[in-house]
Amino acid sequence: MTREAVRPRDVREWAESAVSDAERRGLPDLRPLLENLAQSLAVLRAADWNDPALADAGDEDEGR
Amino acid sequence: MRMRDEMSIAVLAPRIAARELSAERLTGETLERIARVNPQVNAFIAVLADRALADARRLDADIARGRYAGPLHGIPVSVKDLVDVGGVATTAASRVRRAHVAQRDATVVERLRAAGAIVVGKTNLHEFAYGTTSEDSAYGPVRNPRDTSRSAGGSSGGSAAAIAAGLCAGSVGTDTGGSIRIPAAACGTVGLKPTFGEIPCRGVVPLSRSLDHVGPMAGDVASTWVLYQAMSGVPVALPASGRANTQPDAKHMRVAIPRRYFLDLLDADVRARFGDAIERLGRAGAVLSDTDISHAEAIPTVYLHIQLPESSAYHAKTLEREPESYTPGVRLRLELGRYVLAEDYVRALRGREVLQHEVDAALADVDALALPTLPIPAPAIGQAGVRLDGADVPVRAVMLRLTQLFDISGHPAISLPCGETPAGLPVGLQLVGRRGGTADLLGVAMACEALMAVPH
Repeated sequence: MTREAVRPRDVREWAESAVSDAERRGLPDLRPLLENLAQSLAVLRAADWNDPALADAGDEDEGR
Repeated sequence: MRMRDEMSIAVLAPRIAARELSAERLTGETLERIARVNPQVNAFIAVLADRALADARRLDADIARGRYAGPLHGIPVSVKDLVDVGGVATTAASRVRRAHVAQRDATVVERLRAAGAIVVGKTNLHEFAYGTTSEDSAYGPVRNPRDTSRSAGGSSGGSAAAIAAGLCAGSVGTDTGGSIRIPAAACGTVGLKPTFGEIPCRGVVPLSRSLDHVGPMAGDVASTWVLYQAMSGVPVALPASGRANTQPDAKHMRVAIPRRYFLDLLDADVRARFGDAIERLGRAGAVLSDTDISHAEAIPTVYLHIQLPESSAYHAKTLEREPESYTPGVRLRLELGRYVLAEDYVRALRGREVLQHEVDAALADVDALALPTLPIPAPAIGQAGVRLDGADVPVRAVMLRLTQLFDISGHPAISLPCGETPAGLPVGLQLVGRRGGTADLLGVAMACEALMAVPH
């Protein structure tokens, strides 16, 4: 069974979409794992290395 | 002397070289012990008895003709059943690969055989190396030789259990989040994760290609060193003669301890044994200091957002075709990884660079970092959670907590025993070296190992 496209903008929308998709696919046991992953995702998205577009270009690695 | 000590390569190699002990006799005794002990620990998925004995006879004939291959000549080793041995199934402890037969040896196995090692069998593991307890296996759980009601750790649990029970002198393990070091700590053995990319992964079923490492496991650091040399493809020699059995010179060795995060959540007995180990280092003259990994709290999230999608991508087709062939826990984690978005994977890759720089900086002025390997002693088989410092935490997350950073960063790390809990369960000391400095790390580990063996 294929999955629905998961294209949320924020963590809450991502989690709701993913849980809904997992239940539709007959995988309700995924819910607690997805909820834990959502907490982890919030940490990742909030990390201070995630705003490179506002940093000096010189901060970015060379060799591109 | 414990059976694990009798199986030290530093003990066996000189006896084989001097023809006091034949490879055939050593292999025969090892196979007899496997037949007697393996039903209790379930360390082996396959025992290659006929082939091992034939190899042993050939190696004895080589010695008789004056062709001694070095310290691994005639030494019985095992191979985690995630790694190809030509002509034998690589099951990955999964029903998914029940029909598989490897066409040729993995590079590490080729190198070990070329150095004279004898492969006595393929060891049990957590299915596809995707777990820390070696319970989810199509061949049943691995049991810890110290207490068979407990996990041997994982995912290379069969390798560590086989070494601890004296069923081989060393083993080939793999480590993606701690899978060599965790079972080594749980079983009271030694496990080395080399620098990322140092030992080729050709012929090894991947878990997460940008995190996977292959490395040696053994009963002591000297044996681990010998296996590491062979697996690296360099000439094999025993470490400086007798050094492992003499009081080491730890004076001026510089060791930094990352306290925040890494010592925040520990079982009380693990904390006490780690404290003892650091005190021994200090009394021996090591220069101790504290250090900090400022983004340490981000380690699990960076790890998850790299490892989950990489594993799921590898298994995607099989997961669609025969999901029921996976054990339920592994199947769920593989499904979970399919929900990670590409942009979050890229964020995690950037986080990896940040963490790598921070570990580099922590090591800039010291020889090694020191921290526990496992925050808890080996958990009971089937145990899902553990209470630590007033908090309930999942066993899987807590077992990965202190090891996964160095898979993310690629730094070499080794676990060696540093004592036991009052219940007799081993505690592991983890040492971390500079990238590209695996041999230097082994030297530090050898000095520390001798200190841990001195009566307190």
